[in-house]
Amino acid sequence: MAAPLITGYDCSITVGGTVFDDVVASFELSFDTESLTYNVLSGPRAAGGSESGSLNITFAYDSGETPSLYDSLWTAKGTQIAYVATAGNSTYTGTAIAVRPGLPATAGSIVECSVELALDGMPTQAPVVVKSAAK
Amino acid sequence: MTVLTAARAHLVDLYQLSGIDAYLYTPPVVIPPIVTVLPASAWIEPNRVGKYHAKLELTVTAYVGLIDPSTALQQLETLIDELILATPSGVLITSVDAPRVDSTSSQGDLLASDLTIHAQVRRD
Repeated sequence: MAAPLITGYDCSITVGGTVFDDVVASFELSFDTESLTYNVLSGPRAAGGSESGSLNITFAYDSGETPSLYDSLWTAKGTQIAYVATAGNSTYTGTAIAVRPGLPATAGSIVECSVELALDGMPTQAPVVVKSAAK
Repeated sequence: MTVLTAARAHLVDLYQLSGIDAYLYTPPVVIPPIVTVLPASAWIEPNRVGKYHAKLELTVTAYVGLIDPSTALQQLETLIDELILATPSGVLITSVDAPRVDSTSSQGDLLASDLTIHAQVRRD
């Protein structure tokens, strides 16, 4: 059986309880795990360290719309904001620290904003739902 | 009517409200000046996460008669200017091509120019 491929078509992003797929061009949950290393006589040893992560979102400027991702982030700046990121059958839930989005304007282009939100703790991954083929 | 047809029809309605003779198709008998709104390439391009949104690329072609070459270009410039003003906010005009001559069997030569526009559509 061919492995299922997940594309942006199968993804969704919710911020502050509202689904913003209408304006989001891309998002990325990324994680960084520090490793602790130490060299002893028998060789190098390593152990897991602290984890951190970020949620990057690129979206069309939508200030003034109801609801508005731009206005939600602007209003919530510096505070926790809940997010739900879905890719196929996987769902990641957590909170991040909102930041003010910038306002890049270019003649002849859609105004598009990018933000990087620091994660407040690691997200919870909902169990992947495996769908069986019809028999 | 699909969202694709509705997007073109919306533009045609707006142009007609501005006094421009606009069509969803190329009429069998072209009586210039007229404007057609037709799909361009790449016609549909997904540009949002999820399954409902896509970027639509359309060609708005402006035609004027080429009976009098001394005034045809000026007429085309006026028509292009009217189109730019009538194109709604949120619909992006990415380019306007240089005029070209199109020949028709019934109406003779036409001076034509293509506007390439991008619109965002949502299907529910």
